[in-house]
Amino acid sequence: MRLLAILFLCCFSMTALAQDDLLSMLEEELPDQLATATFKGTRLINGHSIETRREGTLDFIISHRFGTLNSGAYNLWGLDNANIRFGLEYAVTDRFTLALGRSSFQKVYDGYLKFRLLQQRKGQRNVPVSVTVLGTTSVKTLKRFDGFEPSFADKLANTGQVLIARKMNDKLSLQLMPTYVHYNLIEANESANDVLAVGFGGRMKVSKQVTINAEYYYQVSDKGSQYNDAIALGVDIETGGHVFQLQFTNATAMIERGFVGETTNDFFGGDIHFGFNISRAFQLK
Amino acid sequence: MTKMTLPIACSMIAMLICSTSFSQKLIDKSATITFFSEAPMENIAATNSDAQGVIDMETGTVAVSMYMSRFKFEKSLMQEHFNENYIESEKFPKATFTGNITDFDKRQIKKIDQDLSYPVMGKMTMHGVTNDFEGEVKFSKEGNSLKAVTEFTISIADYDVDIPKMVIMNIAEEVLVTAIFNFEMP
Repeated sequence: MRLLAILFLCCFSMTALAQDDLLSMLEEELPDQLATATFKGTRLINGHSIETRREGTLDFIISHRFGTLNSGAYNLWGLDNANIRFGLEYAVTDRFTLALGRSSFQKVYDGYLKFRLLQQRKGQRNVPVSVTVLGTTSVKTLKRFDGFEPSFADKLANTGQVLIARKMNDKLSLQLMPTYVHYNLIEANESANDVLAVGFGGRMKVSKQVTINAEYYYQVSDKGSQYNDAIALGVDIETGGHVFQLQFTNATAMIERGFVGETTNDFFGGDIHFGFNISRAFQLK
Repeated sequence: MTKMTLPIACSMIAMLICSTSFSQKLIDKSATITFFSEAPMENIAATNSDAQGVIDMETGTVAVSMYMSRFKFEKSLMQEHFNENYIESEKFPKATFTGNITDFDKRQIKKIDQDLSYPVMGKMTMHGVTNDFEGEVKFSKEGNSLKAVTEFTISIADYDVDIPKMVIMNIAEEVLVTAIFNFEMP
C-alpha cells in the first residue's frame, strides 16, 4: 500500500515538473553582452565619441556654431553669425570609418580615419572599456593678408587621439580623451607647434531619446597662453535615423585643430556659442 | 527481505520505462522567428535564427526561448534602438513561451501526410511582462522533419514597450510575428 502511494507521488510530481523542465531544456549560455550605444552620436559635443557607425552607413553631419551670446541683442545674441561644417562620414566596416569635411571657419578642409580597437563587453570575455583611435588631418585655406605665402605643408595640422569610454550603466557613460595636435606652422605670438591635451566628458540619459552631455578639454601644454580650454555642455535628441545635438561652448571650431588648441573665447566671460550638430544616417549597404 | 526488493525493483523498472516515454521530446535549436510591422514612415522587419523550441510528444506541452539581442535588422540603427530603447535587451535578455497544444495527438503527428492545425494556449514573456497567449500552430511534413509554423499579432503596449511621440510615425503599435520550427523526427 505504502509502495503504491510512493509510486503515485513520483508520477504526479513528474507531470507537474514537465512544463518547467521543458523550458530549462532550452537554457543556453547568455551570449556576451556588448556595450552598444555608449553615446548616441559619433560626436560627444565638439569632439568625437568612441562610437562608429555600422558597416555601410553613410552619415551626413551638419554642424553650426553661432556667434557668442554676449555679442548682444544687436547680433541677436550671436544668431546673426554662423559657422558651418558639413561632413560625409562612411563606415567601411563596423570598426572603421572614413570621413571628409569642410568648415567655413578659417575655410578648413578636414579628413579623418577612425578605428574602433576594443568594445566594452561582459560575459565569457570581459572588457571594461571601449577604445577607439582617431587620426585627423586638416588644411586651412584661409588667405593671409600679411604677404606670407604658406606652402601646402604649412597649412596642415594633424591630430592623434585615443578615446576611452565606459558605459557605467544604461544612463551614465564616461569618456577620457588623451589628445595630441601638431601644427606645421605657428604664428609669431605662439610658442609651440604641439599641443597636448586631455579631454573628459560624459553623458547622462534623461529619457530614452534625450541625453545631457558635458565635455572639457584640458590643455596640458598649449601653443600659446592666449588659448583657453574648450568647455561644452549639450543635449542629444534622437529621433529614429536622426541625432540632434544642441550645445553651448566657448569653441568656435568644430574640428580638433580648432577647438583643442585654438579656442580663444572665455567660457566664464560669456563668450559662449550656441550650436547644433545634426546627423542623418543612410544605410547604403 | 527479498520478497520486498522484487516489487521495488519491478516498480523502478516500470518508472524508468515510464520516464523514457516522458522524455520523447523534439527540439529545434535554430528556429526562426521573424517580425514585421508597418508604420506610416517605414516598415520594420527583423529575424532571429537562433531561437529554440521544444515539444513534448506525450503531453503536447511546448516551450520556446530566444535572446532578443539576436534579432537582426536591415538598418543597423534600428537594431541599436530596438535593443537600447524599446526591448531593453540588456535588462530583459530573453523572450519565452510555455504552453500546451490542445488535443495534441502524437499518433496523428507521427503519420502526418497533410497539414494539421491545433490551437495552442500558454504564457508569453517578453520585456519582463507575461501575458496569456492564444494562437494556432500548423504542422506539416518536410522531408524527414516535422515543420511547425505559427503566426500571430502582438500589441507592443501589452508588453510595456512605450513608443515616444517623436517616433510614433516610425513604429507600429501592432507587430506580426512568424515562428518557424523544424523538428527532426525520431
